[in-house]
Amino acid sequence: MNKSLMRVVIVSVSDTRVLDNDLSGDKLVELTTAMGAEVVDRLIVTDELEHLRNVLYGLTEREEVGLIISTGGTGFGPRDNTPEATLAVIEREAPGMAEAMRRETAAKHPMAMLSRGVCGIRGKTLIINLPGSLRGVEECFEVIRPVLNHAIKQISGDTNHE
Amino acid sequence: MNKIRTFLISICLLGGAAAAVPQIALGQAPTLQVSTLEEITADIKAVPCKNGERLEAVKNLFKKMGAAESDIVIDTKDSLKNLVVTKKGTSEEIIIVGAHYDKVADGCGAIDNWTGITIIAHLYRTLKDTATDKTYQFVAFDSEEKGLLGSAAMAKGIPKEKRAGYCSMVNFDSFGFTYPRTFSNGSSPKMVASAKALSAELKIPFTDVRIEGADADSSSFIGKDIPAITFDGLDANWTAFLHSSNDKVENINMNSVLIAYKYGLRFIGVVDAAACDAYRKK
Repeated sequence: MNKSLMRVVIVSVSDTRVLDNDLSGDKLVELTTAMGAEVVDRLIVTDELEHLRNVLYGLTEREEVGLIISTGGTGFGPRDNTPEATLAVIEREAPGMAEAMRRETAAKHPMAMLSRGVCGIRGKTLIINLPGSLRGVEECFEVIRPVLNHAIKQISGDTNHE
Repeated sequence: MNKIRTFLISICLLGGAAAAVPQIALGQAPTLQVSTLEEITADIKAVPCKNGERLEAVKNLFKKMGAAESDIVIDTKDSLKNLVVTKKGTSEEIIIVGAHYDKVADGCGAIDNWTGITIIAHLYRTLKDTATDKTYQFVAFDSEEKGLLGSAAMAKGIPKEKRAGYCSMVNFDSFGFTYPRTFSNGSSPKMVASAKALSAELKIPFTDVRIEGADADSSSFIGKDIPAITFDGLDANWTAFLHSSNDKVENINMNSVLIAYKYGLRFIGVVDAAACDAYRKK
């Protein structure tokens, strides 16, 4: 399969929501679809660290998945484990993307400083952590949107970790 | 790739299932016959890899679980054969517990869906001598892989005026990797919410998944206004295993199946205690 055709999995991390009322996940489907990506799976997972890590790892194993966007679990709460789960899976960090999202959104809302989201690459898959709130998802996605296509192209190009 | 997969499976076995999973207490009835890992493993290993042998094998499995020959009905519509075993409750309101027994051409069909068949057979074994409020129909569905044909035939055969007497349908499809997940494409939101609450109570991770282009037998009932839910026990890398030569016994983490069976018992406890219309849309 051609991974440069952006195939996305949306992972919502929440102890309370199910897919039926997952507004942030719905928004991500809308935003990624609007840029021509194909959403292949959507998941809501509770945020046990090991479980979340296994989910992210399994997704990166899939040939067709080029991009994983998570929403939720990036704050300071005791069960906010998304950054740690992501760090346990990725091989290379992409700090520029995470920093840009924090910088742009924290300029408007200081609370955005409390987002610990990370971005990084495992094999040919890019993982991006977004905050859980609908506004956070919209504003952060706006920041990375201009570089996403190019990022996916670079990853699927000459870097081979097999 | 194989190495990595083996690694993942061992992670699931050591951390994901065996060590981290709390024992699900079944409690109450001392006479309850709760199946063991060894029993479930043996019945999964006995999977017939040929479609033509599977209906007979399902029948024999239910007999082994304690069903009398006369309890087992092969419901034939056109060339479709669903196997139905009924367990009476105090009320005549019905809950269907289902799994499909057919397989695609590739692979053995051990994961998809002999695991589900084994789970519903063992659920029958445990529930058959237990007092329940609802009446249960355990159904092994034909031709799911050809487009939900067996379940659609059953759902279509329920007259409109009798639909309200069917409280819900609980479907088991493809296990062997992780904790039970709810398959959002084929599940009623209120039933998913119940499952999420149960997972939280049992302190096990919960995943609700929507897979583009996939479907399950529960959808046939939802289409006829009967609330339904599908559980699976797949992980995020399921595409590497299903509908391929990787669908074999060796790739099944038996703990995933055992947990799904015990979880199924608890979930049936929840739907049994609920009002028959609890999961219907207002």
